[in-house]
Amino acid sequence: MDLTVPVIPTRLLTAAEHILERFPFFAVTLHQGFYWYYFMPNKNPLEVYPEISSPCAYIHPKKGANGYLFKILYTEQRIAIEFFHALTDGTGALVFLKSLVAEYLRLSGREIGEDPQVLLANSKMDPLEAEDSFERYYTPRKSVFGSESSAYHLPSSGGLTDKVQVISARIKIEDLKKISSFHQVTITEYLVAELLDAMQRVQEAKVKNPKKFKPVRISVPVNIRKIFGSKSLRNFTLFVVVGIDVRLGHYEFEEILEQVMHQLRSSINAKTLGRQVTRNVAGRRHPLMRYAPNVFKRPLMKLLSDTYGDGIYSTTLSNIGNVTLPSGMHEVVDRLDFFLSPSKKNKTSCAAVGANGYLTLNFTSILAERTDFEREALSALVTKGIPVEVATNRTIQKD
Amino acid sequence: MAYCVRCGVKLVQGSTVCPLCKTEVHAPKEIIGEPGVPLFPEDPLQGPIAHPLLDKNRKGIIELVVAFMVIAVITLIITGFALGNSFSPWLPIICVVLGGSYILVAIFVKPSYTYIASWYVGITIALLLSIDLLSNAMLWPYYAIASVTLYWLIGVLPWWVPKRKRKWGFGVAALAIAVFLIVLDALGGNDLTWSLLIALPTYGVVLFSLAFILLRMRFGKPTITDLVLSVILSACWGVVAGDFFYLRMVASPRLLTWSSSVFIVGLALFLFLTLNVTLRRVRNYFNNRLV
Repeated sequence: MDLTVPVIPTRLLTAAEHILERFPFFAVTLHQGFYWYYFMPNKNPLEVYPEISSPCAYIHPKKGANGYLFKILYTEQRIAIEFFHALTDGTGALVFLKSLVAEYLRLSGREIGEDPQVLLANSKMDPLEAEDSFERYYTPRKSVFGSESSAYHLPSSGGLTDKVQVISARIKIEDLKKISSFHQVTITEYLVAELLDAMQRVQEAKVKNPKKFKPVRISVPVNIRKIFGSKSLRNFTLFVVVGIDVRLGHYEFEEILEQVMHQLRSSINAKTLGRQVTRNVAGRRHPLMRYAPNVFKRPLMKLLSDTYGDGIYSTTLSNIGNVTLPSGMHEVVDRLDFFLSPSKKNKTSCAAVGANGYLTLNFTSILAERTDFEREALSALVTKGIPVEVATNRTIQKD
Repeated sequence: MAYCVRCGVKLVQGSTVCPLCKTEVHAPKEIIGEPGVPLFPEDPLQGPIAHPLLDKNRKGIIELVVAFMVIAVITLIITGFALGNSFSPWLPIICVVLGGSYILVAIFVKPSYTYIASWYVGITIALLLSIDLLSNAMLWPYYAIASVTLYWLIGVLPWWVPKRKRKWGFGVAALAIAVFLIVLDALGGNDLTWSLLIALPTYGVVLFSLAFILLRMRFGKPTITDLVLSVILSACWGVVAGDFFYLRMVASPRLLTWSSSVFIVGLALFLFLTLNVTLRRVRNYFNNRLV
């Protein structure tokens, strides 16, 4: 969250200590047991860190952030948080960040208005905020593993880097609204369609033999709290995979948009998503899994995650939506960013967040050189008359 | 604020190169503007992360290992002088030096499986040769050297070569197993009897049946069950082939003895896998599925 006021680290630390008391379920550390990894309360003093040149850096479970599974970062005018996904998802992180910034501004002498996503440091915690909603909304029904084939993945030609490379695009929400309402879709659906189209073009350019084409799919994380009625601030997100099978031929943008709209709308319901909840929970309830040592579970989980997770989609687009800010905060928040960590398989991820009339679309990548996918996606928006402003943390060598 | 002429995107103030296509911006300074606040702050650790430098702990370990090695060598030399001809210190000295070098390799060599494994194989071979040279250890070091070399050819070489040439690496590994069988037979002082008459034909049968799995993988992704059953099937054929070729060597009139039940299991598995693949294809055909 970029502010128009300077950030004083000591004050930020005080605000963080205050706010962590309101979020005791985040004050945990990760322990490796014989059978499972588990959270344990962490009493270590909280620390804030100066931000480095790339986001989403690895947090060592013990030494990374004094045992905490999140890291509070600051620059001269920015407050940022990096979370380990096992702890919470985008929504939980956003509530924590908004509450932290509100507390910081309060300590700076500002009056902050009311907002459902801004929790006061001295307010009482609702026990439902700390629940594991996956366990609560689990119903023992048939757990079905989808039988999707593997999707196209960006090649790693040009090498990989261990520092996350960002290309950040700022787009006026008004422009996006105009074009998506013209196509009668939501902004997320429109962006997903643009990314699918871009990925399709990258594959067509890179893979010479059409017989070797693979489907292009995008994973869209869904905030399922509203669907299931959960109040949890811990991780409670699932994803819907939408895509096009380019083995059947080239898809025009209108066709992609239609596919995305139907696939997304038909998947976001309690039944379809409940299947994923069952899949996730039934696995860990199975007696064989419960009593299998971690040393066996780890490679198995990696295999399952690659086969039924990262392997079946080409990239991820997480749109956290338009973030509203309460009075007192609205005036000093200049910009909001949201970054998703890329994985070794899905080397580029996209995350979007809207605030103050602008949508920030951040492409995070571990590809050292290649930016074809980002270029295809953003220049397509420009071609359609949507102005895009880009910034990067990449060190660029002139061609 | 400038625009990229190729991508059409607006660049942030002060940016002279498009981050998407690396096209340079040719515009007056007033349009490009002064650089604003960067997206992320400067990182003091910019640049690729190099192999970790020697830190205090590593330096301490190296000093400790070298000190132990020097003390042990000096002790052995003094003992050698004191005991005269009844004790030769050379073999223990070589063992100490090479033993210490295992630890030093782990500290100095690039921390990758192929590098460390190759160094360890080299040191082990040097150690085995020294043992043979200095203690007249008869044949066993040669068996050991052959085994260690085989491990390198199977377990390291395919991962050493570039990915696109990996199949050649596996080819060399497959060939190395055949050569290893012949070497074992030759070292045993036989006239290449069991290796040529039993081991190599059996190995050939196993390779042949494994080749079917590769062929199956080429024409569509097999399920994990298919793969596991196919590997069990290859093992069954290997066992049956071993029995069959042994009986041929001893000129037995019977085709199979103890492995006949394994043969039946193999046959059942073979039928099951064939039916499974065929029926799946038929089902996919009628379901209009692509794969």
